[in-house]
Amino acid sequence: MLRSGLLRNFRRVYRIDGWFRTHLTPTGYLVSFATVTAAVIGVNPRLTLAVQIFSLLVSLLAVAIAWSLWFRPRLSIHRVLPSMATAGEPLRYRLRVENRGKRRQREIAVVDELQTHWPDVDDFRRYHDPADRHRNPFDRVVGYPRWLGLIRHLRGAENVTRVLPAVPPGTHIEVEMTLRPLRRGYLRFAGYRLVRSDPFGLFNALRRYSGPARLLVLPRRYPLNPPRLAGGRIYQPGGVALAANRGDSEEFVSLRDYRPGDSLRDVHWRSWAKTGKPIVKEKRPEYFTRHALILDTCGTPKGAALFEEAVSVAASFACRVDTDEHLLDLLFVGEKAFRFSAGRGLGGEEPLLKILACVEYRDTVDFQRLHDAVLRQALQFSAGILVLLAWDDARRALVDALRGRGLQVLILVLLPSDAPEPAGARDVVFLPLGRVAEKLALWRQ
Amino acid sequence: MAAMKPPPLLLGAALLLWGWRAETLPLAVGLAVVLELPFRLAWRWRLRDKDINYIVDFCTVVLAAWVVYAIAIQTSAHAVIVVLQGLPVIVFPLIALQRYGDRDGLPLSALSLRHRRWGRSQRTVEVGYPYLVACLVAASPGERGATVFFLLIVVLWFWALWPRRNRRYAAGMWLGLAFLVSAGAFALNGSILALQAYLEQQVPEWLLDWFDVDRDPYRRSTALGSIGRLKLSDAIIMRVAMGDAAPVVHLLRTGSYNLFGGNVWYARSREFAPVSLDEKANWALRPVPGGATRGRVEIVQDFKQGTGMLPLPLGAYRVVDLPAATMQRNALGSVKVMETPDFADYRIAFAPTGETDPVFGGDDLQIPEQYRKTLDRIVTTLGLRRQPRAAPDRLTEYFNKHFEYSLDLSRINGELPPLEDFLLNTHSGHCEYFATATVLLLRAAGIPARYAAGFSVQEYSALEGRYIVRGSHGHAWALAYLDGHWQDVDTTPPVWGTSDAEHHSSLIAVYDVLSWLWVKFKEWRLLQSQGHDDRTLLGWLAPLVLLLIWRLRHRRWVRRSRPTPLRVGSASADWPGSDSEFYRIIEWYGRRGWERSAGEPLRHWLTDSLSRDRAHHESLDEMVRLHYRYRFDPRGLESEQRARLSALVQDWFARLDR
Repeated sequence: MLRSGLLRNFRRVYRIDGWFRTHLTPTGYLVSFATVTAAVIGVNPRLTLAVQIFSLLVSLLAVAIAWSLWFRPRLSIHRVLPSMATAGEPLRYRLRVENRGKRRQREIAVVDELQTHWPDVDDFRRYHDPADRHRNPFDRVVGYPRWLGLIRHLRGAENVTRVLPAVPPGTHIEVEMTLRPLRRGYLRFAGYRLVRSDPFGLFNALRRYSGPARLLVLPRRYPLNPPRLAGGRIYQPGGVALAANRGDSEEFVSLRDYRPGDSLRDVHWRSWAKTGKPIVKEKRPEYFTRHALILDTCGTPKGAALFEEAVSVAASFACRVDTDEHLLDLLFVGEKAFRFSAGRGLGGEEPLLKILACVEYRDTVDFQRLHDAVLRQALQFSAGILVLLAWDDARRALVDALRGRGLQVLILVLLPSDAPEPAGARDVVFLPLGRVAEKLALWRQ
Repeated sequence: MAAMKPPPLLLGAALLLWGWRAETLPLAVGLAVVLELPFRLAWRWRLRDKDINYIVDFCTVVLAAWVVYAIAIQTSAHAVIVVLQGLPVIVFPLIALQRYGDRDGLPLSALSLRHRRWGRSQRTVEVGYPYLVACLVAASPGERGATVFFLLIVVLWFWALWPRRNRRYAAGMWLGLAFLVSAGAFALNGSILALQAYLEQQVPEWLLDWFDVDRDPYRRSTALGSIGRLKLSDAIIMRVAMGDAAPVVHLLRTGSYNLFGGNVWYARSREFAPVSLDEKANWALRPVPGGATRGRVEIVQDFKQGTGMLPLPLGAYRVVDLPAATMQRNALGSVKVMETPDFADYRIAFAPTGETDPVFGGDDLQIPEQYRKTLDRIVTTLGLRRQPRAAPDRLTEYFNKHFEYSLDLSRINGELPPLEDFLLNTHSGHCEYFATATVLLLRAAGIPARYAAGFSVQEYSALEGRYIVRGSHGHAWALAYLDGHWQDVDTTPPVWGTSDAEHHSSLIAVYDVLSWLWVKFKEWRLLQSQGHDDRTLLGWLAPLVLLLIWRLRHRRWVRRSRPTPLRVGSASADWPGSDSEFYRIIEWYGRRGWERSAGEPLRHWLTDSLSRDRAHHESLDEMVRLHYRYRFDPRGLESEQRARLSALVQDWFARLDR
């Protein structure tokens, strides 16, 4: 009750603050500050002449505000977006601005606005802001800075502002905009805001245009060395359709040039004799290498704080596993158990990255469901990469079970930044928050 | 967005305005020169974060000390003014640091402990414009030169706003609007002053009417008819010192009232008129009485919220050394002051026979009908009508002989009006009974009389060497108009002073000593503020700042760096491309407040910082490209490209001139 009341007030404060931020220029802020100061100091005109400063600045602001009431630029704006972006990487796109009026437009800024989503109490409770630990106790308890952080996080990026070059009547220009997505998932653009300040440069007149669009932001990825995963080929029932190039089925498909590594038994000697170069027989591949990328989405005490990094780690490995040669399956559980395959005939890592861009943490899901789902399919995999949110008994049991089935497992466990590495863990890569990139860059198998 | 830096000379001009208003012009000139000098210097200090933190901490400590000093020597609003007046000097090291340092502003980590602890923020805060605001506000205390001040702040503000203007609009339109704004501001200022004068007149009266009945100059409730024991305060209200040769003052009046009804005294003729200052800047309550015996009394007292009724001896004609914005007096002789310091030490000149205010025939002789019969009987018994001049003495004798003073309020016949019960039955009461009865008896004898409320001066303090007046010394008496002037008629039996003293708290001696120490401190503070020592102290701050600079240099905490990125255009060829003409353009922008931050890439500066200056910067693209190649390309520029860069820059400046 108290918290929801606070959130309502946060929203009001944010709106009021937003009004000032959008309407007042930095000079406007200075003049407003000076006005308030002069009002306080000049409250007794017999003691000071600050009332003169107050009168002057109030008149200035009044003229500036009155000036903002009339702003009708006849501009049309069109946004040209790329198909995807990556969290943390600059996203460059263009705005096409056309002047349909009869007047040259200059000294106008355009703000490309992203939708603001108002968080509810559950969002607020779940959200972990790393900057919180640097804040004072009052801010931590009341939580307004954290709420601001959550608003930014949900919006996905800061609004981009750009001063437009002069646009002569009847012409158009294109300007490049750059924003840096803060998170994975969809960025939802709401529209554009044209901003023009008054002659004194104090108060902005605004004009809003609708321009909804959305853009998928892929998870942040870290550079790392490619993992060396076991290459044992395993019979894949129903997997024929997945194997366009290589395999060990006895069913002949076609001939092709020899590639290093092909078995001598597959050499088609007669064709070699005819063409003068080694030719091999290609067969329908029902046997091939299949790896699992298992992402832990299940509830743990610190899971919410660790999950985003876990997704980034999974995405980094999805990009580094050789999907030309092997199949890579992404496994996680949400409402139900999910499995998505990539590689070989199914394309590269891009589909997996798109899925990872949208995967969500489920603190109500028991790890046992993931355990069961993975073990049901374990025999199809020759190796597995486990990205885990904790190193507890349930997770250790899954690792033991996989190892017991002969799978090579690469285990990566996310840790809170201040948590010590658990002792006695064999062949486990621990990744403390804040040092994930560093640890992955140094990681050698 | 370009860094918000004030244009050259603006801060210097603001400092001069402050110096003129604060009467520290030589100091202001010195500071202004120091502040504007960097625009002519080619070197800058290379400061480490630690050095900057040190200087910011130094300023904070000095500011805190200055605030403590201001509170010590002044109170409330006046202390704020003292703090304000010192601000331009106290925070001067910060702006000097920015001007002489090689950074754009002060690091946020220097100003915020939180960021200093984090040690991560690279953000800087530009303090130029805030310093401008500080100078202008610091220049505002005092009333002299109001018109010139207004003109100067108009000029300074529009000077400050000129570089920040929106270039979408023509300069002529901007100037026209600026004129319009100035005219509007002038009118608004006049309206505010008129409104303030109106409120100043009305609000205290509203408040006094509602909350402060006992200090009401128009109405005085009495405790007539109350039952129980009056509780009186031992708190010291004021200190009174009298010259040996002067007439002794026993009574200090804060209000006079002329209408009685329902146990309440009212003042008719309530309109207050301003009291003017004489040629010696003393408050002239009435003309100086010629020939009469004169005296002078010194009063030291607190004024709550800077407002109050003045305690005046009979025949007061001048109030000396009381700084107040307004003093007003009504026809009954009550005087109120407004906007006076919360603590004041002033003198009152008086002539006991000099109170010759006119008599209001009807009001000063009014008697409630219910008392007339009783009063007439007593007046007849005492023979007051036959010998009016002897009436005060006879009444005094009558009350002393047949009545007794008591704070224990009791009634014998509850059906009679309290005053009548006092006169006929109880014969016992406090000063309000005696004063009211005296006024009505005098009137019944045909002598104009008024009810006076104020304080009795009766307790001499050997510790302080002067009289002290406590809350319990609050008193009421009568004023009678005899022999062409008003005189005090105090018929309360003299025993009342000793009777009250019996009820003093046992800790009163301790309280008196503490109160004396506190008033001594306040007297010292008053002397400080009257002696303008704050300004002297302000002057001491300048050497302190110089000492700080010398210490910094002496300990080699700061080093000169030469040349700075902003000033490299002129000559030396220390690195490849350092003679590029493009530096002239950077310098040109720098002079107009569009300075490029240290380390800011040229491209960024061009697209972001200068984007508001579309008028001039659109043609810079090619020049920047050539300049970059000239600076950083190991092969440099071909001779014709080098010539092209030179020509482009010259052409750019030529177009500017046109």
